[in-house]
Amino acid sequence: MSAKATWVGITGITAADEPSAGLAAAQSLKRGPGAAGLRVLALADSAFSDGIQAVPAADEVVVVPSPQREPEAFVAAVRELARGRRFVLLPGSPGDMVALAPRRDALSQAGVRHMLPSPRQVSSLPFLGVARVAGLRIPRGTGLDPASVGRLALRPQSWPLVLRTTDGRLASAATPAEIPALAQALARPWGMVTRAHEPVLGSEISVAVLCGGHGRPLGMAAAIPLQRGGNGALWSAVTTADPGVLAATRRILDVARWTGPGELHLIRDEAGALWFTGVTPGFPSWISLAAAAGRPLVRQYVGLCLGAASLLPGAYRDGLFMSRVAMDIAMPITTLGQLATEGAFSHDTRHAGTLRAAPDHAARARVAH
Amino acid sequence: MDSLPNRSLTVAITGLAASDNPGPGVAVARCLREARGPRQTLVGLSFDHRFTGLYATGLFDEAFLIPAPAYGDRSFVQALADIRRQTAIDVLVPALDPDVGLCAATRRSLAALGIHTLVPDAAAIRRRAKSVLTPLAETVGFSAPRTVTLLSQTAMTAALRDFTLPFFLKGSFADARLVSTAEQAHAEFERLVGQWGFPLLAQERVLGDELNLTVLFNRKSELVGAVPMRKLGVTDRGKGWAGVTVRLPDVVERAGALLRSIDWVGPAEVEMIRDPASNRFYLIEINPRFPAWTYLTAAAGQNLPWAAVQLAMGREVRPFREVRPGQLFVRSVEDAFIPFDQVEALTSSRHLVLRGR
Amino acid sequence: MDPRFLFKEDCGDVFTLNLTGALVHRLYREGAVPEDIAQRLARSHGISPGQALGDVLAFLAQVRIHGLLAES
Repeated sequence: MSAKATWVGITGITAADEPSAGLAAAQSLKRGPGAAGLRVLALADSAFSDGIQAVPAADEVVVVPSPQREPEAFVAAVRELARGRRFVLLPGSPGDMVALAPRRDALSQAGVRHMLPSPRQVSSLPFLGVARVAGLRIPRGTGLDPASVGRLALRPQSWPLVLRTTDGRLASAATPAEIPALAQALARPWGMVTRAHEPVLGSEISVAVLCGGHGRPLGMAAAIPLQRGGNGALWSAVTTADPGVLAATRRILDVARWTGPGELHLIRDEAGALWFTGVTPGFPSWISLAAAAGRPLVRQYVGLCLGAASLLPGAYRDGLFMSRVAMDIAMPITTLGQLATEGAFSHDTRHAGTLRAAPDHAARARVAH
Repeated sequence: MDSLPNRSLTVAITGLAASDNPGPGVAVARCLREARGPRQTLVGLSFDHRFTGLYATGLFDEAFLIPAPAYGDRSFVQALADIRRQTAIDVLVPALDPDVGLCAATRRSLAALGIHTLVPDAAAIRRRAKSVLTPLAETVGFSAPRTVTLLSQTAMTAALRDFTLPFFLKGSFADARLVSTAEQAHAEFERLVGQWGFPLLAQERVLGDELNLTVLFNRKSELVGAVPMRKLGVTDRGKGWAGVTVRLPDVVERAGALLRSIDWVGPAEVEMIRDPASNRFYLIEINPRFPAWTYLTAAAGQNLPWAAVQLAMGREVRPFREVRPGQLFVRSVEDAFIPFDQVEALTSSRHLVLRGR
Repeated sequence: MDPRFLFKEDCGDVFTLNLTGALVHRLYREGAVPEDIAQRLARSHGISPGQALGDVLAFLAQVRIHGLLAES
């Protein structure tokens, strides 16, 4: 491996029926400008689930402790991976961003370069205050915690009701009876449905952002989500260069003083007004579209982590449609075997053996099935 | 019989939904792209411009919008006749259950348009229906889960008494839901009746390893190829996202004998469950077309879509003898990018040229 | 290195062995008896021969249950 190569460790690379931002980020890095000098390292927490899903998208895969379940152990593992290397960390899911934000200082001390938001930003963003100061409306509704979701059906309100998660996935409940099943379908281990609100007729707009300290926007790209699966995962989108959206985004970022990658959720209603519905930490799952449209925000993130000057934004291609296509990748079962037994896999056989999980010192023989 | 056995063909493929519940069309097309021989012209046929597989980079040369299968035989044939004025199709590979039925019903009309297909006749399609699988399975020593046909709400109520929860409720053509409570069963019953009509099926749940076979039969109902696959990963909706080829010559032989007994022609997917405790194989379903995981057949050494196209053209294909076990598939995604005005053009003109994009 | 990943072609079951398990599996398939395998483990891991023999027999029982003795 060239001493000048930059390693980009990406967590949360999943495909199957919920393609993640981590997957899109890995693909956009490997196909975008400067790919030759980058090694994409998928940080998986299991050989049998996200590990094997990451094999097609990354140069190497390493099994490490889960950032969400074992954050301290994750930091320790990444410290070892970063030793002696230029190593940039990009959490590839909102859950990983939330889990690692409180450890951003520990990661920096471990030699891991990143642009993670502060714990306050990911856990207690003053949603109403941000919208008010930024001059945007928010749909009338109520914040939720897991306990109150069940009581939601008992409260008098108008229907349908939109249930929305922290990462912008949503579903519409037409009757109280639908709420429990919808909330369960939207739930994730790191977060439940966070807000129930009246519907706003119009177009959802998602804005991918990359901010320096204190909400300084370094890169932005907006798109209209089109097709979503039953679990809210995005399957198609089209870019938009709506100047009103970009202006509103700058106001929100300034008020929220956001750091690092993020996704803003807006609605442009049928009368043309913009509504604010939340911010998700981390890049959105359509981030590959941003790169294709002229805003390689993931590449920019890597460059900024390495101390490069911020790139001047190039022209953004309005009206570029992304079609996400499920494709099976074939490989020998020994690939899974290598991940399961050695905790690592590399497409480049010259470097197989350079990255390994902790050695096995067990004296007892064990069969794991 | 094809008088020019080595010429490049134009192959039309349906079933191009490619999101969280992908159809087989993209996999069929990829197998054809990777086959040896002259490059085929691939045409995507879809009733919905939102099916993401239409736009897969480098896969299809052209795309056409056609009426949904519910519009029936005449609309289907008329659409293909209209397409023929621009593009002469040699082979049509139907990759959705209703499309197989349409091709079976209109094969003479398609032949008059110069379109070859490799599909069973309507009688064979009926003989593998879910409601009649049990006696069929037993003829070759397979077991079958207890299945009851539901023709009314009363029958649904009786099923709740007779079946242990959870059990499956299924539409007779497609869609299956595992119901765990009486309330859920009633809700799913209403939904399935509303979407598919009667009859529905109630089927006991069998626990075990999910084993699926992709098979291909020629026009003499002789088995040409068979690839067995064990599912290793399943989504929350029960769709396989990872699987590995296995070696099961006895199961292949029995499944082959079963389909031969109903004069099967063309591809099929045989869905089974193996009870590891008893090593019994339960026949769950026979789908009359290639499955979504068909790409694995090429990796296993049997490019069955390629073989199906050759057989459709009347070309001879020697039966595949070997399957490579231990070939793993993992479902990933590829993002394709296209100017949106081209998507809009497809919806207005119902035709899009993709070649060279 | 002893194979640590086993795949059963007739059903698709996959198994992983740790380093010790892989060693025991290989030695047994090459014809070594459990007592000799246990002696080797006892020496290399600093455990009693009795404990080692118990581990070896328990492991081989699992391997038989899963039908792995014929795997390569």
